[in-house]
Amino acid sequence: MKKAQFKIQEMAFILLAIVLFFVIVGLFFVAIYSRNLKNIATNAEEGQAILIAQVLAEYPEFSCGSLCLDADRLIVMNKRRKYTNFWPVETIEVRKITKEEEKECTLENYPDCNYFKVHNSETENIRKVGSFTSLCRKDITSGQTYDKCELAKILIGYEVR
Amino acid sequence: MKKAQSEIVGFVLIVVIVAIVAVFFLGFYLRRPSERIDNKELVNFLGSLNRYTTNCSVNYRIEPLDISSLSGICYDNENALCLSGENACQVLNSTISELIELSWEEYWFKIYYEEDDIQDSIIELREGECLGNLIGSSQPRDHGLGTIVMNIRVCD
Repeated sequence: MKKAQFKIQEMAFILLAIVLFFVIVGLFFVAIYSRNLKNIATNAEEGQAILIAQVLAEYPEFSCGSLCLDADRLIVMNKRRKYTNFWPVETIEVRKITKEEEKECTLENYPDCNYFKVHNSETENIRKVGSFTSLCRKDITSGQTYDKCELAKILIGYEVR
Repeated sequence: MKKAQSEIVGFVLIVVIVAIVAVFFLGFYLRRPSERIDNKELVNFLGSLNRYTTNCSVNYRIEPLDISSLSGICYDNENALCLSGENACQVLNSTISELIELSWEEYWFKIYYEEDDIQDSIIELREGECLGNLIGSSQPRDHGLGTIVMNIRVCD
């Protein structure tokens, strides 16, 4: 092999190394950028959904204080047709966190149930997101009334466009 | 092999080694788990958990206690009994275990009493090993001279 050929080969390897270096650096930045982008999008979506859930939980139609849904009010608001256009979301559900089998609440079986379907617009292509909350109702023990609170999740369904 | 050829081989080797090391560090950096604290979902979870009404009443209060009050009673006296005769700490433990298992797959949950630099564990529950990113939240509340802290970390 002649000297000139060696020089060309050496140059080719150097070019290869430089390209490889920039590819790695590029990959590094792309990975960091896409990771941040995904985090930002997830956080924004999650934050917005939780915010809507929290705002709904504060509606006087449901609320019994901060982070508290009043089960007695939920059962009254269950599938009220007059409120169909009032809600800013497609579906509103509240599920108790329990081992028991899912049992939808109606005026007949309340409070022996664990699932409130407050609003359902029958829209298809819905994505549900939720937030933890307390689900409280009045109960009686030894003749005394007290607030019995359970853990629940308020699930908001919004249309995916 | 001529001198020029061995130089080329050496150069290529160095480039390959540097590339492997760079890829290794890149992979390591991207896989490194991160931790976000005060996640909104967990803040709401702990807030709601604190309010949860257990089935334990103690003699000076007939109405059942919430988890927040029961953890204080459990810290003050680990042999405290509910009116039903059950141990208050056991009721606290079983109630929280059930709710957390139903809510999260992998978790690290603890309640502890903190005063100055001293920490006394009241409950510690752990399930699974999170290899990815962690999210967490803490909720302190005053108790006696110190604070009872409820802390949870789960896999994102």
